[in-house]
Amino acid sequence: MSTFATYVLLGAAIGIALASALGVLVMNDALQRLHYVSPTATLGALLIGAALAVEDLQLAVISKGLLIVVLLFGTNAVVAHATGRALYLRRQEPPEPAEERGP
Amino acid sequence: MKTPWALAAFGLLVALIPAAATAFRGDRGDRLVGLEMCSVLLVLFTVVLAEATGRPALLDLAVTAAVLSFGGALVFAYFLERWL
Repeated sequence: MSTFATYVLLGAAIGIALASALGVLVMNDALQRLHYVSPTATLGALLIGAALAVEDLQLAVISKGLLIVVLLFGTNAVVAHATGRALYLRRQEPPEPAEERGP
Repeated sequence: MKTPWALAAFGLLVALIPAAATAFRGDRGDRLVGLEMCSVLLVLFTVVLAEATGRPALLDLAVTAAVLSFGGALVFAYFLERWL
C-alpha cells in the first residue's frame, strides 16, 4: 500500500516538475518563465516530502525532508520576488542624467 | 536501489534538460530564471537520490544546496538589478 502511495506521490511530483521545466523553456519572456519555477518548488517539494514520509518512517529522515520542504517554500517566494523586481526595474526607462551646471 | 525513487530521480534529470537549456540561452533574465529552476530541481533530485540509494546523509547535502542556492539567487538578482 505504501509503495502504491509512493508511486502516486512521486509520479505527481515528477509530472509537475516536467511540466514546469517545459513551461520555463517554452515561454517568451523572463517574467512569464518565472511563474513556472514556483510549482516545482512548492507542490513538487511537498509531494516528494510526503512520499518520503510515507516510505521512510525514521524521524531523522522525515524531519530533514520537512526542513527541505519548508526551506524551498520560504526561499522560493523571496527569490521569485527579488528576481521579478530585478526584471521589472531593468525594463524601466533609465533615469535622465542630471543636468551639468556650469561654473 | 528502490525502483520508484530511481524512476523519480531519472524523471527529475529529464526535467533538468529544458531548465538547463533555458539557463544556457537567451537574455540575462532568462538565464537567471533557468538557473533558479535548475537549483530547485537539483535539490529535489538529491532528496530523491538519498532515498533511492538508501543514504540519508545525502539529505544534508540537499539542505545545504537549498540554503546556498537561495543566497546565490539573491546575489544574482541584486547584481542584475544594479549593475548587469
